[in-house]
Amino acid sequence: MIGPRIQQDRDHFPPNSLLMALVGAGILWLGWNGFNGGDPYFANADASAAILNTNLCTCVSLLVWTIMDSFAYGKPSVVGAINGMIAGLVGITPGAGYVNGWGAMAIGVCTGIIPWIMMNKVQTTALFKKVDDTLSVLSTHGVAGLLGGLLVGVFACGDMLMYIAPDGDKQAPGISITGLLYGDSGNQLLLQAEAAAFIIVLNVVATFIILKVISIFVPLRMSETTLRVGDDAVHGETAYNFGDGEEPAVAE
Amino acid sequence: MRGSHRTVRRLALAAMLLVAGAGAASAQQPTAGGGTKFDSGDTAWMLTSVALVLMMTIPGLALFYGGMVRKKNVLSTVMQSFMVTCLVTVLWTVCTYSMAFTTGSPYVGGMSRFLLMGMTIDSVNDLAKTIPESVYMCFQMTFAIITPALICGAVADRMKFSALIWFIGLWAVFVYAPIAHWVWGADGFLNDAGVLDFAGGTVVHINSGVAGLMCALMLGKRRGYPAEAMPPHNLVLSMIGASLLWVGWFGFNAGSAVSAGTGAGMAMAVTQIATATAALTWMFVEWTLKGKPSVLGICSGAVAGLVAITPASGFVDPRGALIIGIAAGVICYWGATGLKHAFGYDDALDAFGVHGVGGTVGALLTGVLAVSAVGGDGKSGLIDGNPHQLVVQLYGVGCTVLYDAIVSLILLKIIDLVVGLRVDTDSEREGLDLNLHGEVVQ
Repeated sequence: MIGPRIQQDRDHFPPNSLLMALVGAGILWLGWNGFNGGDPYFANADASAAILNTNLCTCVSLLVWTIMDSFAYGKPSVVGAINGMIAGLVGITPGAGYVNGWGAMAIGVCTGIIPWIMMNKVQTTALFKKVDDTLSVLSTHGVAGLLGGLLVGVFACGDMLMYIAPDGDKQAPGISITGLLYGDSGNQLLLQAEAAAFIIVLNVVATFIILKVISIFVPLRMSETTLRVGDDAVHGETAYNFGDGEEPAVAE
Repeated sequence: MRGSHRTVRRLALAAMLLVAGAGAASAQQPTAGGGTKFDSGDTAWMLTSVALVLMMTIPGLALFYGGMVRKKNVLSTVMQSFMVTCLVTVLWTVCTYSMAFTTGSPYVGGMSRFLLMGMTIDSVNDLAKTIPESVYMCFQMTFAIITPALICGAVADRMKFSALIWFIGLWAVFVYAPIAHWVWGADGFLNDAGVLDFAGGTVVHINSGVAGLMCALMLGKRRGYPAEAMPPHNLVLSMIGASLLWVGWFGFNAGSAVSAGTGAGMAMAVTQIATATAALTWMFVEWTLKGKPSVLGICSGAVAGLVAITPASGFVDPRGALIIGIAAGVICYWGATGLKHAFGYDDALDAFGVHGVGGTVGALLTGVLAVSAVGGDGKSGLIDGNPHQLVVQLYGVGCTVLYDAIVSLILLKIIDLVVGLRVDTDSEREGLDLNLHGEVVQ
């Protein structure tokens, strides 16, 4: 609805600081331990398992993504490693407390490959010519999240229950999720797919309506001039002023 | 030059001995915890809080301030936070912890913890009975560190590093330690008067803000201010710094409950609410008045909210936090723009505009919005049927401002005479990084 960036920005957009992106990625990874590890709401063995799974899946996903990059482009890139990391973190989020270590690694392999294909092959096709997802949020969050959600239905291990609510421990209601691999008939996978479909439909419809309503009152897209100038036009400041600072920063 | 250094040192030593003598007469040992059962949950949370609050100064405040100055002064600015951390830690070990947090007189604590003697592996400070004294000492140390580090925002770009070391050292002994004792010490006179300051509105923020203002007045303006624009050289750093401050503040406010319980939980909730509200308020005010919402603006608004909720965080409910947030956003915006321009002082990074003004807003509004349902019996303000609390808060603010302003001025005057406060014009033009520290960033 907002439309793509102006052409010059789409053709040429080196990250302004890869180092900064790496720092941010590291903090995300660190914080994600709280995101997934905090979800059991108490400090128990399932929290530990969730944290272990989070790190396992992320490591595998990052490595697989980097290997894909190496094969496809000849060089393992830092940006690729970050994307692989994000995809892994997102992918393990739905299942962190339900899968065992093997499951986590398997999810990591999937999130290293499928979102990679989505980002590097599908989003570059003509179909996506008009859709400019600047930082590939669709691939690393949408696709990886969907993948993670569905894979819970495959890799969830019923034995994880012993970590969530050990015998006699009434802290947690008996939650046990069993996936295809561990003898489920596919019922769980179906449930996961239903949930994903419901959320996608609701989200698409509601987001569309919200954006449409807002665009009646406030235009969603910045003017062409503002787009060309950037930060200074929007916020009245620029990120870096590396002159000696004695003269005021001048916007183009 | 060397002679004058010695004079200052002798003066400081004499004063220290005087304080020691006064304290020793009535000094009481904090209870030794022979066989005390510590609460492991409380201790774990307080250990975490120590790390969080230390992170507020290094690297939080260092980056926040470092990003705001011009490129030629970034190293001198981050160096200040780092140096303050080290200096205050040593002083805290030697005498300031003892002066602030042991019983002595209503005006300053005793010397029973001089060089931390008597702090054994299982000793307890009566102010924090469920955790080891070592943890409590470290927790309060991180507060003593960030307070003088905040002052550095007012002196940026022009103060001599040597003069700053002298000032911070003397200020920590003669201003921070006594005021912390007044407000938080078991026998402090403001504590007795019933002043409510949960995590440091008076002790930390008004204190650092007013001292910063005195520094700015004594130092004079930066060369070229206000005619030249002095844009921040790296706003990304400032944003990272402000974010670290925000995250660390949970240790600051929720840690000030000194337990991992209900008080800490509510303090965390109101901290988040007031901060977000103040940041949005500042953003909208700036947007309306100046036409654009700036990154520096929303960051400053967040810090203003954090400052203002600090004294109130153990006493107000979420509705109170919303009100404090809105008030902090509006009034601190004025403090960093209108007030500063009206009087013409050069508070370079708004140490006074945000911390002095925000701390005052928070301390006074605590007297209005405190409810006993949150803070416990007797901790109520105007809206809870206790208008007298507002007067008590005003008294607390007044004592802090007055004492801090006078003693800071005296210290600055003495240092100006013997060392000189300000760098020479050439150093200022070329930048402090190269001239004071011999290094530059590319």
